[in-house]
Amino acid sequence: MPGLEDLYREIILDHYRNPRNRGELTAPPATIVEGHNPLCGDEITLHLLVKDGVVADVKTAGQGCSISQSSASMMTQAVIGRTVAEARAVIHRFKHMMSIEDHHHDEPVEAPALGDLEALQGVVKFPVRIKCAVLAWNTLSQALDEAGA
Amino acid sequence: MLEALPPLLGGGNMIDDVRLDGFTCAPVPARFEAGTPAIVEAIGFGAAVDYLNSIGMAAIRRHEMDLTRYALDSLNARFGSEIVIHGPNNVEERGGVISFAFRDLHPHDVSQVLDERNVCVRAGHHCAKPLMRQMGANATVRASMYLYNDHRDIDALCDGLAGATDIFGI
Repeated sequence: MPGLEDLYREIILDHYRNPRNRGELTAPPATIVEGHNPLCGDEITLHLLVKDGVVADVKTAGQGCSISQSSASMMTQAVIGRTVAEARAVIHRFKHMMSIEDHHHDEPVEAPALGDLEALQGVVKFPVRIKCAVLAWNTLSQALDEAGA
Repeated sequence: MLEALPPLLGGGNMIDDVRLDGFTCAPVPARFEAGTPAIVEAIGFGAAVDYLNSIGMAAIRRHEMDLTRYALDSLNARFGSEIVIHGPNNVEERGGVISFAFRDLHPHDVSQVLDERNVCVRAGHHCAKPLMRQMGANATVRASMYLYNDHRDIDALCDGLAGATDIFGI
């Protein structure tokens, strides 16, 4: 049986206590998208700035549990400075790790390594928490769509 | 109006007559009650009622109030300003359900830690979003106590919360 140490890894707690890239961006030019989990009440407001096909900046606001907040924090670090295609590939790779998307072999670009995000792997053992980890990613996906990127 | 309403389901007990070219329905309410009635459920319900009556609802309520008093006092004594318990402090004005916020930990993190220690609580907005918004709470942890619980369960809840403090360390 998976234990709490599988879920609450130190790096996750670090991002929870000290979330990176919190805040807002001016819209326009930024795109603002709100995401929420109706089951648990977690909310995220994602601010995305895409410039010349690159994710120039991402800021997040909102509230939620340690898993949703740390996932959002690590996500911003994983995608800022990446091309939009790379960002989408990271989203896919992350959701594959969360076992909610199959692996595509025809990915247009190689997904960058997940790095710190690997720490969230343990979440898969706690199925009710997967939605917490994925909230920010779904919201980013929607923001990329709305930004026309 | 009920006579005009077509039945949702066909099945046993809702039929008046069946022919090759159609069927007619039994009168209301049988026409809406197709299939095997909830016989097992009714027998189970009867057994539950007998059980509760043998103990006495007044005694059950007394037990519930005693446990709730013990829980409110234990939680407040052990955690003081670190816990915010919603609702009145007078146990005669509340049932055996306690919704609370613990430090600034998210209820789902609290419930996850309690779950590890075999303490089952509910976390979330409890299908009461307008109320939660009114209270300014995003979600709460909710512990329920009843006939099956005793003081040791409350102690386990308190110990579990202390454990949450250790894990998150904030």
